[in-house]
Amino acid sequence: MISISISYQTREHLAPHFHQELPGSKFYCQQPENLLEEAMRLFPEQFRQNHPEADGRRRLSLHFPHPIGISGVVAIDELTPEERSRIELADRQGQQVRCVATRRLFETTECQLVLSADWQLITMFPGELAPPLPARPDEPSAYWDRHVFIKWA
Amino acid sequence: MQTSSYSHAFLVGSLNGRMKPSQLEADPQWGEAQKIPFDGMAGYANLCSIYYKGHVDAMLQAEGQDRPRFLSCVSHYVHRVAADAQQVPLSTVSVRDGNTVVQHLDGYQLRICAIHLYFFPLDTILFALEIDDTGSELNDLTMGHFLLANWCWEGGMCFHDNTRNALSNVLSPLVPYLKDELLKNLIGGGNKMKLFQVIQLETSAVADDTLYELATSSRIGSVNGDTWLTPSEQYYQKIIDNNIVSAFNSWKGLALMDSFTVLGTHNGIRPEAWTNLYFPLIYLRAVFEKTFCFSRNNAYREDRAKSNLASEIALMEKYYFYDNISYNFLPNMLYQAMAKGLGIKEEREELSKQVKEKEDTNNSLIMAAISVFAIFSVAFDFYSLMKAWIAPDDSDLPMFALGVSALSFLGTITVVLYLTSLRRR
Repeated sequence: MISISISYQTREHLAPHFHQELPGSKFYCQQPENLLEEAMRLFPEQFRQNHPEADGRRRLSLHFPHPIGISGVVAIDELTPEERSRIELADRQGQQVRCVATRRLFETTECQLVLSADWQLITMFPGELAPPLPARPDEPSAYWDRHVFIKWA
Repeated sequence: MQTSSYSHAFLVGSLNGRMKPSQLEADPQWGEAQKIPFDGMAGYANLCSIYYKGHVDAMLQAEGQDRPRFLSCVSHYVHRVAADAQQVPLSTVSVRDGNTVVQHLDGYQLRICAIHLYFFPLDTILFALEIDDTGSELNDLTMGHFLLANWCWEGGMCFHDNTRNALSNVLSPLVPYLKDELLKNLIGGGNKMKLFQVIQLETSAVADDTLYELATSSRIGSVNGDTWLTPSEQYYQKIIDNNIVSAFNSWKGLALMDSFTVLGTHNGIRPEAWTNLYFPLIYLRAVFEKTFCFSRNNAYREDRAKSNLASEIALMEKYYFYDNISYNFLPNMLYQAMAKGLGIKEEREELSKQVKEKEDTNNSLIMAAISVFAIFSVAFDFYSLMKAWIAPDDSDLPMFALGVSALSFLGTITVVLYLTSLRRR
């Protein structure tokens, strides 16, 4: 059997991903335990065979058979020419990042989980696993050169 | 982790509902279980060559067989769960030390095969959820059985919505007949369902510790482990010494208050004998007896006792309360072990106390009534004697008559007060 525990602090940290009124990428379900339950049910082998990485954290990248939420990051290829023309720099938690304001919602079937070695949930978010942001926006990065954050208009 | 090569179970309880078999006949979701034919291997005639006819009649319906009027209601209805709805994921959510814990039994192969309703005399209805979890890891199996039998654990653990919805969907045919539409209040008596489980492992011998862990729905390895649920040596030995039933090397049974577990080796345990014969013919009988006694004893303690208890017990004594049910040794041995595990003897002793108390009260009332008549009789004799001695010529003696009347009146008052005090007791 697989058990994952969610601390009060983690729940607070995850609130923007679950409360529809707060900005940011969103899960369609209301509570993290609902998505975790479905993940454990659909992908038991991925959980069972997962091992902690060098930093002591477990990382799981799960592809659900249906959209599970809205991604906060989008590939530039998916933007319209008009949207591409509106890409701008914005402050994100003290760091300058490229983002685009749009009313479009980019659904995702992907979910990223980060857990401690003893199966405490550290974070989860909808969308693909992105590498760390470069220190400066003009620094080259194979991923971030082709992706931007979404700023919902 | 070890997995079961066969695992089939029934979760049994008294139904928290009221209905007549005729109501189910009109419900397309329910069907009457096939009545046993007269002939054939599993036929009535063959069963009666193994079990006493009275016992078979008390437990099963057979084609064209007349039964005593008291047993005429004994019947069995079944709702077969559609194959696409049988798989129920078992996930729970609990709060421990301020953390929300989501748990999924990913190695648990639960299928709910059928819901059974068994009608017995004296308005008793038992239900059974028939499940199959062959191929499950033993730890998931014990946890799954524990969760299902307890439905919702008081320690803050409850089924995840997905599990609850799936279970509610499977159990929906029961809902119209429940007193309380909440499925968690399915059970009419007690706080959990009783578990009858048949498990086979690919081993050459039955290990007592595994049998204990399965029977108590404990974590595998807990007997020899060091957890807060590890049983004390004395308790474990007492259970093993007193509650194991065994006749052949290929299996061992453990009869407890909340479960009966049979664990078989790779040599086979004839699963169909356990699920098709020993469960409906023996375990259900013991559970019915326990349910009857428990409900009457509880009613007595809660001042809800029925006045016809003695006649109910007399009927139960005649049709159910006897220790030998078969010409063969094994059914008798199993029944006696199951009855011991369920504590039926103790419940019956409690019932007997009630009947004795009622008899004592009745006897006292009769004695009191006789006393009243005796006082009048003595008074009349005394009056006649005195009259013959003092006034043999039939003259009026008003003062004397008044004295005798007063004496009689005082006597009557004393008896009435005595009776009143008896009733208060």
